[in-house]
Amino acid sequence: MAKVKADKKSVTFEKEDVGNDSDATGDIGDTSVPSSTNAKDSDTLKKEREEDLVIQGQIPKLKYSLLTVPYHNLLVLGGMFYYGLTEDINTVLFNGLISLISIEVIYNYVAYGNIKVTKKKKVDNTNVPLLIGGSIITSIILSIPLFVVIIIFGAPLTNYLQQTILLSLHLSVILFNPLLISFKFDLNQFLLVFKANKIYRLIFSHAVLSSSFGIIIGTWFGVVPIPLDWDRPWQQWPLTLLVGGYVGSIVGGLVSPLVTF
Amino acid sequence: MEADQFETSAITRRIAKQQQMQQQARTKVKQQKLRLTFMGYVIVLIFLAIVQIIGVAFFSMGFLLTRNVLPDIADCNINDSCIPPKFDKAVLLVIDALRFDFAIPIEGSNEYYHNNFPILNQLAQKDNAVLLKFMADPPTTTLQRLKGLTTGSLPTFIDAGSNFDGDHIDEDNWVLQLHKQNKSIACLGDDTWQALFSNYINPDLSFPFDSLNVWDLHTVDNGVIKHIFPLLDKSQRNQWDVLIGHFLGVDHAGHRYGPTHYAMKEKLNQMNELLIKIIAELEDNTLLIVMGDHGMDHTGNHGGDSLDELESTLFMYSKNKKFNKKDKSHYDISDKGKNYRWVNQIDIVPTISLLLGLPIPFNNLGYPIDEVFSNDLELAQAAHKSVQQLHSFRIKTPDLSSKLNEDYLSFIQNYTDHGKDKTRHQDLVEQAKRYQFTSLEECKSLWATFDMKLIYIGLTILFLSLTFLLTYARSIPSVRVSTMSFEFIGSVIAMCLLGLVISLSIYIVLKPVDFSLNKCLATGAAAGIIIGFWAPVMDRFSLNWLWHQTIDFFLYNFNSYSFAGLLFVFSHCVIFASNSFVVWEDKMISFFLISFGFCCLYGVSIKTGLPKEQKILGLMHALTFILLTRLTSMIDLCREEQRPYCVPTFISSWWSILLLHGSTYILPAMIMSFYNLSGSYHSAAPLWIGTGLKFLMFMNAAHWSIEYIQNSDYFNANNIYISTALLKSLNLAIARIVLFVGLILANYSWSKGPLCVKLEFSQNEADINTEENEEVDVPKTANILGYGNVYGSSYFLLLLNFAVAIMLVTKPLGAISLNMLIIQILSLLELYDLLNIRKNLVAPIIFGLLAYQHFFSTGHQATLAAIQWEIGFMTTETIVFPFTHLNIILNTFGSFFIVCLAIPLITLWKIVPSNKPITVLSQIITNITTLLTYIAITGLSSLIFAAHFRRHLMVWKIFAPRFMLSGLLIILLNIFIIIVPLAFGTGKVVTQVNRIFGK
Repeated sequence: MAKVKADKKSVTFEKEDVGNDSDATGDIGDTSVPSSTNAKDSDTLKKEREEDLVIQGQIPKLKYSLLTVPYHNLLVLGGMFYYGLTEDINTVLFNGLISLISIEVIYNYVAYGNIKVTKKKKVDNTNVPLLIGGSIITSIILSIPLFVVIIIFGAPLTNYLQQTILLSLHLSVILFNPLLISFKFDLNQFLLVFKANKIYRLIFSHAVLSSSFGIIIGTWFGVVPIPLDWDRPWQQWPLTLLVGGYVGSIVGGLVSPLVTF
Repeated sequence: MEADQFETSAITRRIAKQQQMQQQARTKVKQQKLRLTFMGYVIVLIFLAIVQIIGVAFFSMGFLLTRNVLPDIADCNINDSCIPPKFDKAVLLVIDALRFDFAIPIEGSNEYYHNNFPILNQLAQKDNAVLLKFMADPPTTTLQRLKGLTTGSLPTFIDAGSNFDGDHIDEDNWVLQLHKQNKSIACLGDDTWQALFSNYINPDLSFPFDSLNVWDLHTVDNGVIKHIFPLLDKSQRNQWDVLIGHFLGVDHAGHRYGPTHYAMKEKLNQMNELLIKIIAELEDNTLLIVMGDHGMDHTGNHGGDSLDELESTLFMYSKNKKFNKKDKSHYDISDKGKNYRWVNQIDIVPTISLLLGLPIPFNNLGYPIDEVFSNDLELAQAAHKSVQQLHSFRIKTPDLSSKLNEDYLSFIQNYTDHGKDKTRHQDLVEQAKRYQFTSLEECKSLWATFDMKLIYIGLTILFLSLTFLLTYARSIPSVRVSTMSFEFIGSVIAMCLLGLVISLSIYIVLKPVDFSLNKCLATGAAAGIIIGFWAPVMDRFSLNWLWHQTIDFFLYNFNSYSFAGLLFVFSHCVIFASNSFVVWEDKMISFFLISFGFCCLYGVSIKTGLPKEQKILGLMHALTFILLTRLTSMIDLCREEQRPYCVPTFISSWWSILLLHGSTYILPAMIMSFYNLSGSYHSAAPLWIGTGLKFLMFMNAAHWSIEYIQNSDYFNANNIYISTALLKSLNLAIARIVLFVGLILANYSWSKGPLCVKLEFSQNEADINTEENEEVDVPKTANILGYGNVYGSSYFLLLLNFAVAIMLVTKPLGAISLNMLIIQILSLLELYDLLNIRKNLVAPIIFGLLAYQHFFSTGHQATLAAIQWEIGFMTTETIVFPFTHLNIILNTFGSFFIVCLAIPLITLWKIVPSNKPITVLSQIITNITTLLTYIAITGLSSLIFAAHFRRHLMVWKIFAPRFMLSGLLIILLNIFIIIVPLAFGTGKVVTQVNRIFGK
């Protein structure tokens, strides 16, 4: 029901040409269209919007955005701090990773059940345990390129390597795992996202994408407290980035329902 | 018919000729118009530069009060300025950060820092010792305090006239005077003494210890204790005349734990026992002075000017001589000694001098302490000596008022009249004190206070010029800007003159006391220029319009790249609000650049409608940029505050020399491959890049190899065959040749207009006959290779000219970093072209960030200590005016110069000759002014925060040097960018190309 409301809302600030826009893709709750762009003429605008709608129709959708928000990340993060993350980073991060993965498996089941079945494939014959297992293993493997990226961004090259590896494992699991589950390993579907004309609209209207985006932004801003000379234990490498990523995942996830409603 | 035909052909010929002439005339008009527009831009930018320079100058005058250090050395024979010594020997113990309340009994206090150092006060109850409160002058840092404690002057941040290089002291001081009298000085403890007075301290009796490691509470103290007792022993007493010991434990305990920690109690107790032992060892004729150089605040730090930091302790003791103490009420220890008698820290200087029979140091401003003179006659004598010294200092310092002179004459008159009269001594001493007081106050107001009025004027001027710069760069459409230049010039000149006249008349009528004519005129001119700039803008547009323009930008032209650009600029401005971020600025900038690199990588990979090869090429460019940025960020000269988290890598070693030799081949090859992308590696390019650049880079490598060999231990140990003189002259020759070729010869040849194009005749029409008529048929039969990058390929050669000269004056690893800078610039240019963001504001901003990154990676930091002075002597053996300074400027700001030169390339790279050169020009101006805006906006931010934190603990270590960097950047880049990249480079290349290819 909420979707219909959103449709009406978008009509109010999108001028008249939204009214006659209810064609094949019209039933999709959508706010991903820019409000007004006088610079471009309305035809191209319309075309762009149609393209975006097609893309949005092709990527997997969620039943309830609020359900996909990775609340458990807060639990994992809080738990790690509770068990003395600042005193013994490596051990606690490793234990945290194990618990993260186990919680993530449960979350994956929830998230999988939350995916709307698209019209084309009515029969769903996915092997869910295989999908989840594969996605966990893939996210662990993907931590290697992520590790390289973190190093390139300026992580210490010679020392703190263990911490950096653990950081990339954590981030990789919370970043890639939900994506892999909701896109069911379909890379082409995922790449469609980047073809959208208004990519941020698309991202923020999709809880999983928005959560992943939040992780990236959160980790990026996580570097800010590092230089401060407060000498606090939580300023140690890589805790600020870790916190940034975890908080970003939840904030990103929560932003999406806010935008959609 | 014949005649007719002839006539028609004549007519057609005439018409053709007319057309041709018209065409020529049109081109000529076009060329002239281009030149005129160009002139307009240059003049407008010059005026903008003038305003900014005036702003920076005002701010600096208010912020950096300089003090003239007089080189004179006092002498006993002049004016008979010495009195016989009262003590033969002295032991001077400095307990760093000994706040006054540490040394007096505080009733009822259980703090660890109270009542744990009672010995001083106990001894002071007798007549042979005296305890005084000792007021330091800000800045309360050890180095500045030691200067004050030995010279009697007020050290400011920059002592004009002293050498920048190192901390070595030039001024007259009592250590120097002792040395002059062939006294032997022993020095233990803090190595700052060693740094300041290494020439005067007896090298056999010097035991310095590292003072910077504040985590270590005991090494320095234990070292002093270990060496001081043997020296105090009878057997070694005659080796020294003055013994200086500097303990750091209390200070370090404060820094590490704060005063409210148990470690403070332990340290104070240790000092207490130590003093008891030392006093037991003293001889009768030895004077013992114990003092703190400054206090500490409640956190245990110091550097500022709060009362806790200023209040320190002075204690003097002698075994048998009595001190002439004042009434008990002067030494009131109640309320933490709030009303205790205090003396100025610099007063110790004349006191020590007179007690040891030395002349008072020439620059001294202090007054001898009363207690040390046993009767009124001695007091009057001392008063006379110090007034004479103050007067001789005053004569050499013309800034001081003439009232002092009258005071002096009246004192001398009184002294000669009543000097022998016992009853008048008290009055004489009072008069001398008054004289010293006024002289000190005058000097303080001259040197030690910020002039907030000037600071605010400077900031206002900069802010106003910045708002205009911003409007000029981004708000007004560049098409309009090109037509407005002459309106600007007219109104600016008119308003500037008006401003000058008004300020002159204000000066004449109001006669402001503390505002000189020059300052008045400069303010008037700056205000006039700013109003002159705004008048035409306001005439054509309105504030409302400009506001809508800004909103429109955010609505329509705003994309991820502009957002990234604005985010970077904003973050860069905000970092000046915190000292930690200023310290780590280098890392932040690398982080921004790498983030942008990833944005480009992402941008290329999702970009649709690109051929596959283009896409792969674009990805490679982005990867190259990212990796080079990461590599560059690893070259690092850590500043002191970054330790221990930063490992310095900026060192000359054999592998950096090898890399330098390798880059001689790699860089030209890389540039060549970039040129080949647009098919521009023809005619001038192989000569410039393949021959000239390679040769000059080889010379650079040779120069630094020789330099390395000269300094290597191995060579020095086995030096038999090659004379150092030969190597030295060889190096001088190489440096001179490279600089001459790079800066003058190559630029002169470049001004003749080298083009990197080649005519290639297409096969199907390769007829010999047509080739002979090639003047007519060229457009049909020939392809011009490199046509797609005519401007860029030619302009880039100019950048190389300067780059090679800058690489010479940069140390090996810095030169490697500059090599990477050039590749980074080229990849960025390709990316800008590919992603179509060359008109985006992010383009020049990334270039600005790049310049900052290479500023740091060429071994610089925003500190005075990081300036590479030794580079100044590359082309000359002594300081010769333009050359030494040129080298240092090229060395320090080299990366900025290279980047400034690259700014026009954002527009010029990979475009075909344009029919509308004025449009091209206006885009270049937009990019240039955007870079200048970026420099100005970060500069203004650092200035504002430097002024805001002027009482901050770290102001002289972090904020002030950063402001100096920003100020210099604003001045130098404005000048450089107008002269070289714009007036010389762009002007030549655009007119040249348009004369040849223009239609």
